[in-house]
Amino acid sequence: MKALVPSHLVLDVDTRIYPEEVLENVLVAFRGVLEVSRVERDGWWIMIHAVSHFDVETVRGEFSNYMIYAFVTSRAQD
Amino acid sequence: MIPVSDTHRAPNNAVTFVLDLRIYELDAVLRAAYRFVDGFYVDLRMKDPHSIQVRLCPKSGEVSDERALAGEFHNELLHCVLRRSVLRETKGVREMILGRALFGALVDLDERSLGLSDPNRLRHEAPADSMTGYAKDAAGIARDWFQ
Repeated sequence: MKALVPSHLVLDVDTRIYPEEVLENVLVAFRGVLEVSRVERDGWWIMIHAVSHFDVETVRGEFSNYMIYAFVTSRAQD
Repeated sequence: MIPVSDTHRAPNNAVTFVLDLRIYELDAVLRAAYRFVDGFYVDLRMKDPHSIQVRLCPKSGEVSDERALAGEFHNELLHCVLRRSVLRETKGVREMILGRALFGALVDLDERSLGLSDPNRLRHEAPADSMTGYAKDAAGIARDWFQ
């Protein structure tokens, strides 16, 4: 459900688990949910600072699930 | 049931446990995690180069038995590991079967229907190039020398 007040959230992605191309695909899929303001890199981690009108915990969980989905489907031929 | 004993309940009614990547491939862990995304938010984090923490947070309701849930995940993980192992072992056979199937599906050209079996075909259909007129042999190149 959409909230009236947008929330700021930071999504951290471990590049040891997810390749960067998977993250790119997920960000494209979430462009209607997240407004990315800044992307930072810290070692293995990529931090995505974003604003969303949706519930933060739901966005975080769906983002994580979609990362798994994007990873598995990117290797469907293996 | 060794890894399941590490299972514990985290805040937000989530269940966490750690998997050893020296036993399970990362790819298999992700495939197993994918089977749980319908009912849970799945979060994966590397703890160190050899272990990964799995966090399963139910989308609705509560987890009644965290050990059973972790056990289900491990069973699914074994299934994924086995599946990958079988896929790897049968890769050569599968490629051979596919290759043979594709080879068998090749279109068999009937040369007679195309008129390629007629040795005089090319002679009859000598190209008449209007630009150079070589088919007419104007320079007499093809003429028998002894005639």
